[in-house]
Amino acid sequence: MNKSWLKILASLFTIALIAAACGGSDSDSGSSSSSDAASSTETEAETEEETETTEKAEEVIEAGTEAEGDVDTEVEEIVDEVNYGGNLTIGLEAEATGLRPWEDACSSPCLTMVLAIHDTLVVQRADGTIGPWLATSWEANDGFTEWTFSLNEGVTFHNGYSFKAQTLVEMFELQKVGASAAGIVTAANLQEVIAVDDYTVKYVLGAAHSAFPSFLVQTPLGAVFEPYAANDDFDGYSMNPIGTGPFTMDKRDLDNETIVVRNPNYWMNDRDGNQLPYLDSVTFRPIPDEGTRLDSLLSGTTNAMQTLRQGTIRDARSAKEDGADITLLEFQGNNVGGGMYNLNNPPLDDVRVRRGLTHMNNQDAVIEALGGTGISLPGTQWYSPDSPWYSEKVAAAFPSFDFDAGKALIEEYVNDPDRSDGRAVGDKIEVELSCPPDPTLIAAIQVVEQLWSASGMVDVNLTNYDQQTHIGYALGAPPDFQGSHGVHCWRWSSQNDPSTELNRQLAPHTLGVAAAYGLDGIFTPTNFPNYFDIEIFGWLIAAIGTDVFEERYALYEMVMMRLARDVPIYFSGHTATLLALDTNISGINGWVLPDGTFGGQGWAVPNLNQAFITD
Amino acid sequence: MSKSKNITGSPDAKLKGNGRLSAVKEMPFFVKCALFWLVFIVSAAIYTRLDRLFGQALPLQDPFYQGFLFGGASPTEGPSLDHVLGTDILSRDNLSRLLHGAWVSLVVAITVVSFGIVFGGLLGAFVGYARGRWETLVMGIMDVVLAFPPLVLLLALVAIYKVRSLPIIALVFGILSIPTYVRIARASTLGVASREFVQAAEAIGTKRFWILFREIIPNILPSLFAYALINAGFVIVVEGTLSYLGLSVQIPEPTWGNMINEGRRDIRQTILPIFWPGLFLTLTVVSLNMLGDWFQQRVAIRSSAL
Amino acid sequence: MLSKVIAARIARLVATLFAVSLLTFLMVEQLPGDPILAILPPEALDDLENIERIRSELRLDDPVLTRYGRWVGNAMQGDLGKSYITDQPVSDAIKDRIPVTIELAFLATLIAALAAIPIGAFSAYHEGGRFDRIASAFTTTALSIPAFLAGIFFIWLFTLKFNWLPSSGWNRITDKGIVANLKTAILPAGALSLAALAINARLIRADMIGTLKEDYILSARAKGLRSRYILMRHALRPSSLTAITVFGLQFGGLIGGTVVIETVFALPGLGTRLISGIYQRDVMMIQGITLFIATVYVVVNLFVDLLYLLLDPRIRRQ
Repeated sequence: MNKSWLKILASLFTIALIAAACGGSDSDSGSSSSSDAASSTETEAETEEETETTEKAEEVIEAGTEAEGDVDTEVEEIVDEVNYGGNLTIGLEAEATGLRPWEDACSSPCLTMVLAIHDTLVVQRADGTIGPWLATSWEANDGFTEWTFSLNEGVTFHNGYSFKAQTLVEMFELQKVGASAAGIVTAANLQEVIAVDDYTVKYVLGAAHSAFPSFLVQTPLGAVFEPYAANDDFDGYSMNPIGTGPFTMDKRDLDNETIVVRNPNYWMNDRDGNQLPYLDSVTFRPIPDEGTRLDSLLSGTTNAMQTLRQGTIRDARSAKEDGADITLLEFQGNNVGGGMYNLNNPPLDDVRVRRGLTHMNNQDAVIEALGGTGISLPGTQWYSPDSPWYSEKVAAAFPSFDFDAGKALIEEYVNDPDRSDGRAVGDKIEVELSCPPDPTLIAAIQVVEQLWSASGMVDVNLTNYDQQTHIGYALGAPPDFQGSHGVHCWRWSSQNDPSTELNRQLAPHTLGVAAAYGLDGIFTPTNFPNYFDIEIFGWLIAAIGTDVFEERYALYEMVMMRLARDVPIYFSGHTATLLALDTNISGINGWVLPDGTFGGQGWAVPNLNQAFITD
Repeated sequence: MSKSKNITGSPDAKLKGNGRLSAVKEMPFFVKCALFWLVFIVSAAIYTRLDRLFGQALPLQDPFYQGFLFGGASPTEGPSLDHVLGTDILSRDNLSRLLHGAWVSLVVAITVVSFGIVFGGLLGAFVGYARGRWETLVMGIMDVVLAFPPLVLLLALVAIYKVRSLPIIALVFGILSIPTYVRIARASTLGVASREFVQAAEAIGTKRFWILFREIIPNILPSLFAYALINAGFVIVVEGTLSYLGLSVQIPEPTWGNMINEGRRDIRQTILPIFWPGLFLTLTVVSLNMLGDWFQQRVAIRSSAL
Repeated sequence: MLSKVIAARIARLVATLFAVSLLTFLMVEQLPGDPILAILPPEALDDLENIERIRSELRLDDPVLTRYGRWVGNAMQGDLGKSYITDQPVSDAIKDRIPVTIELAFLATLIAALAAIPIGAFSAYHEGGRFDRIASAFTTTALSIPAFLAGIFFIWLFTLKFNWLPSSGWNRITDKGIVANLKTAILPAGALSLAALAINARLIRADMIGTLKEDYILSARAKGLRSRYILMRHALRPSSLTAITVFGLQFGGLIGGTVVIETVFALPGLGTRLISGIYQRDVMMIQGITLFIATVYVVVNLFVDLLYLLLDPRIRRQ
């Protein structure tokens, strides 16, 4: 018997050790709630610091549009004397699937790498306008079906080949059948690429598209790669990509680190005529765990990181408040989180149900559950308040949180003798709510499930499938692509021109529907909610027939108003993105285009071509 | 084991004579604690089911209720009178979720152990006694299953079943656990089959079928039970791991593993949401291991005393 | 005689591997979702001709058994195919990833062995004493803590609280040297080793208790030799046979067991690649890595068995 007390003691000791260690962590749990401080304070502080150290502040450039919500993502940057040298190590969220722009699906971390090595023909500024990069200028014919681009001369690839119009023609051969580019070629209705002369290229479209350069901003079609190298070693290109970009591939150790080094023959100079880039090298480290990525920055293992998670942004803010030497560049709305209702799946075909469920979604609570209070803005439409396409009118029309209104709508449906799901009057409706098993989404759908269930009118079946299966259920199978989903989590939108996404996602969802409206052959598997409105489709077509911003804005506002009325898709919160940097890193959002205009930070991907490190 | 002993009677008669209570009395104090903890976990799990059966009428917080949506508790609260162990990131009561989580662990563990003992034990005893081709075939199949990385098999099976309900998860675990039980049952059978009382029975001309059920199986059961206790702990760990990866029972159903997963996001602020389920998980497995060790010792002492 | 046993064992191993490969193939076949949907981004799907072109290019239309035969035939020549998604050859992916996994499993086995020998030996030497009881409580606890929980706890303690070690990432020995490498490897290996450590310590203790009662040890004790000397020189040696077997089996098991720990610490090992393969529906990757892990497991088991055959005189004589 007396043996055992020692065992107990030893075990208790172990437990006590754990418990004692836990005690220390309570103190800082309160600070998370006080994160209302908008990011402007951070950027202001940063500006002050820089002003002190700058000998002659040449120019202050302001950019970024006014945010309408309580989170201000204003971007300011001073271009001052630059430094050459140094290595930037960026913690990325994930490894890139591959670095073949025309072939591999690419999200923010991947784009960061792809764009360090490749240039695009044109670039998009933070205000949404398109500016020159490898192309110096461009013009369209009257019908917007032919686009002619003049190219920079004297640009060479990392392997010494020259960049000419013919390069783009060769690239197009791969892009037409590229897993990633083919979709964009179809969306743009791009028929042919013609080399007019060595430095003039013509893109011929099958139908008018007034925003065609927006497709060239996107890497699948726009990133310039060396087509011969790609043809020589199609599979191996990912490991050894060859572009015209500021950095060349040095070492690619998958899932561990990818190192790129300065391209000594880079074609671009800064405005003072200094050769770009400034940095010696950039190391990309995929660090999937959010906390670890932030820790790596704070402990100096890396000197930059990116994140799209509100909880991490919150932690980064509080680390800065606690004195960490970091600059936080926040941006609202690379895209907007939310979901869709599959209209093929009763009761979701009834607009009362869709509006009712949307009304019951407490967006602020979802954001709070994600740790994003004061960081993310509730979403009401395709574009964020930072976007030129944002509309106040649509924001007011969207069925935002109103639990009782939502409950009343569902009640109306439930008591409708002609209810579409074939159940008895008074029976609850049943919906499937599905999200991929991402930690933040898991928190979010549990909140939504709780709210819907609380109405007493809705039976919710939660499901999570991995990303690929999740997409698969929404897609359905060829040839008709009718998804079998119910309510499905989804991310909408991007920083790109509305036409690049909406025209496809709101096209007829089956060939049958297309034929019924006399649109033979026009159909898309990516109309996930299976929602089609011929008027919307007309507006979308009209919007790519004009390049007058006000006209286009009015048309897209009409589209958004219709979506806010019919709610085939709903929005929870805009995705806040953060680039956190050591304070001695500059030039990330202060970059300029070759024509001297200001670029700015319009998305989660840092532009490294003018980044530099001060002492 | 040793052939010098001249016992012809089946030794399981001795086991039967032992009262349950006296077994508990013989336990060292620490093993008693382990047993107490297990009894607590099992009653907690049953209590939570009763609570659900009676529409949450019993005194326990609702494990799904997110107070912050309705003006109640806020996310990640510290301990208070209402929430003795605080709340999680969705402001749900930690204590209630822990106790409800026990049910999942319990069901999985019990399923695995029953599958293992019933199917694995029978199969192992059969092939161990029958020998020959059946043995080669069955053991070959078991080798194949064992060669798979278990987590891969689980991941794939879970992905194949669209619905991740508790019965399906438990079933998958149960089937995958059979091979080890077959091995153990077979090994023990080989030992028992060469013993005098079996040979004596054979000499009398008892049918082999009866020998299997009357002599062999009762005698391999103690070692199977001893293994089952330890295996139960192991299975709870594996279920926890799978839950942690988000691949076990569908949320919002609480499990210890998915509580740890959900708590990990805020680990910089507080470790408590991880600490509680971690503690429950560890204590339960420790208890099962200790009980298993103790039981194994008893079995060993018994059989060496024969 | 011995060679006959070995030949039989190898024949059985080959049969097992065939069965494993067939099962893996059929299992992956059952995974929900058309592989073509994983290959193409949704935007590229409105081109139905393109879908059929890729499908026939990859010969996904062939009957299951034809595809299995092709896969297994190539696999026997060391070609495990290439990922449908990244076009990376599966064997390259394994080559890149396996050093991390092997090192983790090896370090964990090493830690488990090195820590277990003194704990087990001294527990046996002081059987029933204070050290024995503390060690026993420790091994019971270590055996019961899930590896992923230990990993999270280590991260919290050594990274967040003390900031001693990085909580993720991997420094390859070839790039950064052994010290930097160990910095990234020690926490995951430590978390991984706990259960094996406990098992080893118990085994060694039990084994040594028996050995210590042998006459030659008693006489050594009577001669007044120092206890450490007795333990290491006389008592441990007979126990090493059991130990080698167990360590070998553990190593084989740990190769498959690193999956979770690699996930917790975000390490570029085989396990994380396998999991991302499952998530991405990367059919070739899942099949290839599963078959590889299974092969390593059965081969290691075979070696352990053979080693046992060679080392244990009783078995050799039979």
